[in-house]
Amino acid sequence: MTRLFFLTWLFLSLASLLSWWLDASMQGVWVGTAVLFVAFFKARMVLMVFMEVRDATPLLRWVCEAWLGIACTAVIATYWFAPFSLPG
Amino acid sequence: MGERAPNQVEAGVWVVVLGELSVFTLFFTTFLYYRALSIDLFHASSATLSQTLGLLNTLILLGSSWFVATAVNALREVDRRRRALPHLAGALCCGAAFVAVKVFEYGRAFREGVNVLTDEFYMFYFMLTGIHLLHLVVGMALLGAMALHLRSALATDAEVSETLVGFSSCFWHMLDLVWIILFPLLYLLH
Repeated sequence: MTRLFFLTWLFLSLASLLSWWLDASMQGVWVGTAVLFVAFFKARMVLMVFMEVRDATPLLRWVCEAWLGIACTAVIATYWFAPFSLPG
Repeated sequence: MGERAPNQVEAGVWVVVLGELSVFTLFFTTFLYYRALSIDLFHASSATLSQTLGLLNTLILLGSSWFVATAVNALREVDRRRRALPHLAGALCCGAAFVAVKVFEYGRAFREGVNVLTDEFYMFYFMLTGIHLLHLVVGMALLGAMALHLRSALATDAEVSETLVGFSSCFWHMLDLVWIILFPLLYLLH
């Protein structure tokens, strides 16, 4: 378990550095979308590993996955389709 | 590892955590909507923030989450309970470091004449990071209470309150989760 926590922490830290590097070296809506996807993937890892939702009841797992899906869709859809932010 | 059925208290903790996460999701989408209305202004103001300090705070909070997760894991095994205390102290130090970096960032912004009324981006910046910071201070108080409770439980060989441990750790990880999304929204999207 301790090893899993360490590997998760390492992955999350490297993913944060990757997002920072991506944004510093490239521009564009697709880069922003990738950075947001990475953020929600990291959020899922925090929920599943650190908050131990992977060992919880199916109901709690389902509710957490649903929140992640809704939040990720809402944030990325607003990023893409809100007024004057259409790609291109 | 088998499934753990939540008791009433644990269910209550999750209602609080998921409620908070839903409110923050509304904040995130509202921020992005207003960003789209004044995209040039948001780009220009966001560029004045230090991405390095934002990244530093992200790494600090990730470190604190690791400390909390390993502390909770140690608490589950009676012969390793004592190991939880230094991990909790580590998480509290990370929390204090996060607050210090944030105060430094706010101080620098104020010295440059930037405040909550400067423009819409900064209104959102101070509101979102301020609400997160307030939650973080509450989280630190909960972790502190957990550490004190654990210390007295170890001294008297008493049971450790699962409610306090469950709520404090869940609340702390939620703060990490919120910052993981706030960081790209405020600092990285250009």
